[in-house]
Amino acid sequence: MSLKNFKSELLEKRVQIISTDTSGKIISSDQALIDLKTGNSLKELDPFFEAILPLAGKDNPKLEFPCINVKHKDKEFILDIEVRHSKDELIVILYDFTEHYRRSHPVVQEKNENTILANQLLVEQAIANEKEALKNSFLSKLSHELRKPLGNMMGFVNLLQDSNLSYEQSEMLKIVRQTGMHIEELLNDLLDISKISEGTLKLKNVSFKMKDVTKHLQDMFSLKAKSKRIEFEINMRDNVPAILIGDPIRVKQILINLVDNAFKNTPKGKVLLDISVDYSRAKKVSLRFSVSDTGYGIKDAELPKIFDTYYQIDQLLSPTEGQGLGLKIVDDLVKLQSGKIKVKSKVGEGTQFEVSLPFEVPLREEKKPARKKAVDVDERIRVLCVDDAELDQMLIMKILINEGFISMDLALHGEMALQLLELKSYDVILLDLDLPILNGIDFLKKLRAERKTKKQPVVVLTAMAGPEYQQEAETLGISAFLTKPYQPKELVRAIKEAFKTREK
Amino acid sequence: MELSKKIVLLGHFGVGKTSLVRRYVDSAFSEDYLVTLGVQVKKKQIQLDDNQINMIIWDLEGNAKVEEMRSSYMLGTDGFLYVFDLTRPITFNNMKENLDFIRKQHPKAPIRVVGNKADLFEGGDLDEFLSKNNLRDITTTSAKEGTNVATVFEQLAKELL
Repeated sequence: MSLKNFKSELLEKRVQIISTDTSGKIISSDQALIDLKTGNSLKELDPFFEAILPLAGKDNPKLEFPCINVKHKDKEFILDIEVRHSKDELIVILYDFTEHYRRSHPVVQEKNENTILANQLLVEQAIANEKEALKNSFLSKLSHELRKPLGNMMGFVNLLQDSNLSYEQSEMLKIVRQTGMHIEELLNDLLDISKISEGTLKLKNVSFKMKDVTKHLQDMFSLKAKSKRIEFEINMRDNVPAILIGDPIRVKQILINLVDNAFKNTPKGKVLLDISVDYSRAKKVSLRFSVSDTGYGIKDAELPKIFDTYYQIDQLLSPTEGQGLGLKIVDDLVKLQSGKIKVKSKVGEGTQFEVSLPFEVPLREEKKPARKKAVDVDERIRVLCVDDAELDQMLIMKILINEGFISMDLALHGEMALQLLELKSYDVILLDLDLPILNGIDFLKKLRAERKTKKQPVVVLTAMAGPEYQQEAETLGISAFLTKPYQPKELVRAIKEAFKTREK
Repeated sequence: MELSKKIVLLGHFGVGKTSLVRRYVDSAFSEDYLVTLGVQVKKKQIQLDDNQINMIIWDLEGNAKVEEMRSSYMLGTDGFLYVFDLTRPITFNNMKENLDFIRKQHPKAPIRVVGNKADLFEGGDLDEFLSKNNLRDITTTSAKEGTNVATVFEQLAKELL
C-alpha cells in the first residue's frame, strides 16, 4: 500500500461526512464511524444536534465544535464536529479525536485533583486558624476576667497572713494561698499559650548568668524536695559559659515547668537537672538541659501526645496531681527559641526530658554599669490611687498602711484624678486601666500633655495583662506595669522605684 | 406545545456540574471526580403547564474564566446555570466578573447561580456564610443528596417560557 493510500484510508476511517436536510433528516452518510440510517433524524444520534442544527443557516454557514462527547450503541466518541450550511442542505463532518483527547485526560485529571486538594487544604487551614484565633482570644479574655477577683482574694489572703492567727488558721490559710497561687500559675500559662499562638510573645535578648537561673531553681524546689523526701540535684558543667545572651525569664520558665513536672510524677527517688554544652562555635553556644526523674514514667503510646494543650498523662501512672499546661508551654517556648526537645521514658523507671537551646556568648566580659547610689526613701511618699473598684482600693490602702510611711488619696476615675492633680501634687500615681468616664490610657495621654505632669511617675496596676496594653501604657511613659494579682512586696518596690525617678 | 431549550452549565472545574446533570437526568451520583473534557450534552423532558420542554443541557468542561470558553459552545443558549462549590471559596471569588461577562454576551438569557456541595459544607451557619460572602439570590444544592437539584433546573425552565 502506498503512503498516499494509507493516509487516505486512515483519514477516511476517522472522519465521517453526513448530509442532511435543514431539519436534520439524514440524506446520506459514509458510515466511517457511526452507522446512521438514511431518513432518520441526526438529532436522534445525540441531543447535541438538537440544539445545534437549528442554528446552522445563512447567518452561520459554518459552525465548529471541538471536543464533543457522543455515545452511540455503548461506544463513546470524542469528536470535533463541523456543520456547514449550503442551500437546502447541511453537511455535518465528524472528526474522531477520541484517542487524542483520552491521552490528555489523565494529565488534566491529575492537575485538577491537585488544584482541588490544594484549595481544600487552604480552606481547612483558614478554618483552623480562625478557630485557633477565637480560642486564643477567649483564653486571653478569660484569663483577664479571672485575674481581677483572684487578685483581690490573694491580696487579702496575704494581708490576713500577717495578722494574728492561730496555728490552725495559719495552716489553713497557707492552703488557700497555695491554691490561689496555683490558679494564678494556670492563668499565666493560659495567657502565655495564647500569646505564643498569636505570635505576640516577644523574646528578650539580654545578658544573664545561668548561675542565677539555677540558684532560683534551687531556692524554689529545695523545700519541695525536702517535704516530698526526694533528692533534687542541679549539675551545671564547668564549660557552660558564665554569661549568656538570651531570654532568662523564658529559660527559667522552661526549667521550672520541667522540674515541677518531674516532682509531680516522682513519688520517691531523685530529680536531676543537668546543664551541659551541646556545641560551641565562636559567639554561638547551644546548651543541653536534661531533667530526669525516677518517677512513674510514661507509656510509649502516650509519649507523642504529652505536649498537647489539654493532654493529661494517664491518671493511673500519675495519681497525685493534675499536669496543668506546663509541658505544652515548654514545647511552645522551646520552639519559639529555635530549640529542640526530646523525651525518653520507661514505665516504672522514670522520664528524661532533654532540651537544647541556642544562646549567644559575649566575646568580652561586659562591664557592669556602676550601681546607682540608693536613694533615701525615708520620707512620706504621697500616692494618688486611681481605681474604681472598692476591693482594689482597700487592698492597696491596707498594703500601704502596713508600710507605714506612705499617704494615699483616692480617685474613682481619670477625670477625678485630673481634678485632684490641679489641687495637689503627688509623688506617685497608682493607675488602673479599666476605669469609667476617663479610662487609664486616656488619662495617661492627658497627663503627659500637661507640662506640670509630663514626667509624673505612674505605676499601672491592672488585670488587663495583654502585651498590647502594656506596650500602649509604656509608650506614654510609666514607671512600672503590674498585673493583678501582684504581691504586696512588688507593689511597694514599684512605688519606691517610681518615687526615686520623680522630679524634685 | 413542545419547546427545546438549551441550558449551559458553567463554573470552575470540580464544582459538581456533571454530578448535578447526572442527578437531574439519570437520578444517579458518583463520589468519584472524573474530569469532563469538552462538552457532554444530555436531554431531559419536563412538563410545565401545557408545555413539554426538552431541556438540552450542555455540561461544559470547568474553567475559572468564562471568557476563555469557546464562543461556539455558548451559541443559541437560552439559559445558564452558574455553579460554584460552597466548600471552595476560589470557585466563587471571581463569580461577579464571570456573571457580568455572561450577561454582556447573552443579555436575554437568564442565569441561575447554584452553590453546590451543601452536604459537605462545614463553615457554620449556611445563611450567615452566604450573607457574609455577599452570595445573594443563589440556590444551594447537593448533587449527592439530590437537594434542590430538580428545583433549580425547573426554576430556570419556568423563566424560559
